Amino acid sequence: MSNPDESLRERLLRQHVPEPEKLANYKKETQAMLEREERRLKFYGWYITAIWIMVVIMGMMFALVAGWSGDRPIKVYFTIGVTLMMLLIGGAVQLISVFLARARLEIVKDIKGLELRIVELESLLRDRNR
Amino acid sequence: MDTQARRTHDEWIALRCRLGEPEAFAELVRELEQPLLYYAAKLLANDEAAFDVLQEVWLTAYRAIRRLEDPRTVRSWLYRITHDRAIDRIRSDRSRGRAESVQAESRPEELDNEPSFDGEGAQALHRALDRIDLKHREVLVLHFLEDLPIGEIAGVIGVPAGTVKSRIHYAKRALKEELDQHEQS
Repeated sequence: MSNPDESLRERLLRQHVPEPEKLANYKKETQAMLEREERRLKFYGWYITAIWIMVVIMGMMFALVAGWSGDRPIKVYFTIGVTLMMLLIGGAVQLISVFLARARLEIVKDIKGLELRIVELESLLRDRNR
Repeated sequence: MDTQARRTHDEWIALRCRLGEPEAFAELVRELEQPLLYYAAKLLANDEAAFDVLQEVWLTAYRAIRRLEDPRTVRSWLYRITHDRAIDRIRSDRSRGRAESVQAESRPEELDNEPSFDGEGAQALHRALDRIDLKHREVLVLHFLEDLPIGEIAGVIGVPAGTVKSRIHYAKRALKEELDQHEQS
């Protein structure tokens, strides 16, 4: 006997019952696949961080070595200095924009969480008033 | 949960996924696994293939969700990925002919006079859906399951909105005919 309050969506979804064994297999494989993917993403994150650290260290070493070799003309120091400065400023701007975008997303997420709560309460009230 | 609440909920989960909250993606999977599986199974007419397609969908979604521009569209975005993967699968199974047999579709004259399925048994509907044409089955599943707006269904299956309207119209007619025939027999 079908529940008259149940939507067509729910009733249709209940009609499709996959074989439990296949479903269990799928769930297991999907979970393992997502865990693998999460590890891959984490590794990728560490890899990018390591590359950044290496670039910074190399830049510093290069600047130090260039500074010690006093026989070079002043133009070389200036070029190295300006390049490093540009890299630093570019990196900082990039970092700030990432932080700002993240902060904006956090705020939107919190607002949506509140909206969702209100919608749920409204629907609860509607159900009570019926 | 009504359509608006579902949309707000989707957006909230998608935002959490974009922020990299570990539980959010698992929640998204739990939330949409069943309807996406139903949709894939209806397209492919094979549970095993539907499970394979769904796995590919989750992998694609996991990799791309942080770049999703509009979190409100996460549901139709996932349906679009499922549609594309299922069609690829059908193509590779060399039964693409069925999926691509899109004849020139004229705009129906009487869109208002559409059959309703509220009183129909879910089991009869579920079975009748399998007996209608794939392109009609697809739009009806999206229409019945998610009540997606015409524009979003058009985005999912990659056809103009006018075509979706006419497909829904003809699909409802075809489904009604199937149900009537089944009742008579």
